Amino acid sequence: MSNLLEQFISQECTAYVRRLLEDAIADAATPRPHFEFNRFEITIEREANIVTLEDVLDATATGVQHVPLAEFTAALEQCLA
Amino acid sequence: MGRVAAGVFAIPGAGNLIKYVGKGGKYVLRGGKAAYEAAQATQTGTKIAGALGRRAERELAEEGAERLAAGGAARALPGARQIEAAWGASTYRHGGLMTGMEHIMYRHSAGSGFANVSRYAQGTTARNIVGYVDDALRYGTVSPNGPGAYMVEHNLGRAIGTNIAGEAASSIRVFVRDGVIQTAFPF
Repeated sequence: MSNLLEQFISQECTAYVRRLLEDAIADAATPRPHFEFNRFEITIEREANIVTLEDVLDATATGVQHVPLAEFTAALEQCLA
Repeated sequence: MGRVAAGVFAIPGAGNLIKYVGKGGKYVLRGGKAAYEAAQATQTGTKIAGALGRRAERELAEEGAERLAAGGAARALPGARQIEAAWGASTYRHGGLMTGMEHIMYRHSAGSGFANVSRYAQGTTARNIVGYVDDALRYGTVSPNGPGAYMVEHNLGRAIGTNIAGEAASSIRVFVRDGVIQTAFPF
């Protein structure tokens, strides 16, 4: 698991956030859903099967991570209860 | 003897002197009584002061015990900050260069335009937030968050806003990088 994804899962991904993201992944009507959370912004690019995580506190290249959609979906299972 | 006495009274003013000495004696007696009464009053005052002091001490002890029982230790002085952290400016991904407080007000104020973020309660001032962050830096749990970066979490014991789900939140999470407070929000 990449470092930014790991931090998102451990710091920001509550049951509520997980449900929002899973609903968005399942909803084909919105091709590129974008979410603004406290520290992270998440963009789901369904057609490209990529999820982009952006650290709003880090404007450098290390503040962006592209993760395969399947890896992101699997990581959501580790979200906080 | 009668002659002697007559002789004494013959001295000019001697009779008056004796009169005055006699009266002086009375005054001395009266003065002694006043001094005694003053001493009594002082003693009573001391007793009252002592009683008030003991009462104040008892009240302080009771208050301290209540605070301890409520879970908050009675602190004479604030604890030291656990990490170096100061308010300053950072470059954010959205908004570019701004101060930590500007970022907090932009993203986490009650009326911010962001959809899924934590928010401070309506009416929360920058001074309130500075106080919350200061408490967190002194008494919170510090976790490393990458090179030169820390995350600090602290339960303030009272609702300060809402979390991402819109539920009441009483904890604060602070992010510090290179000694600069970057953000702080309820969770």
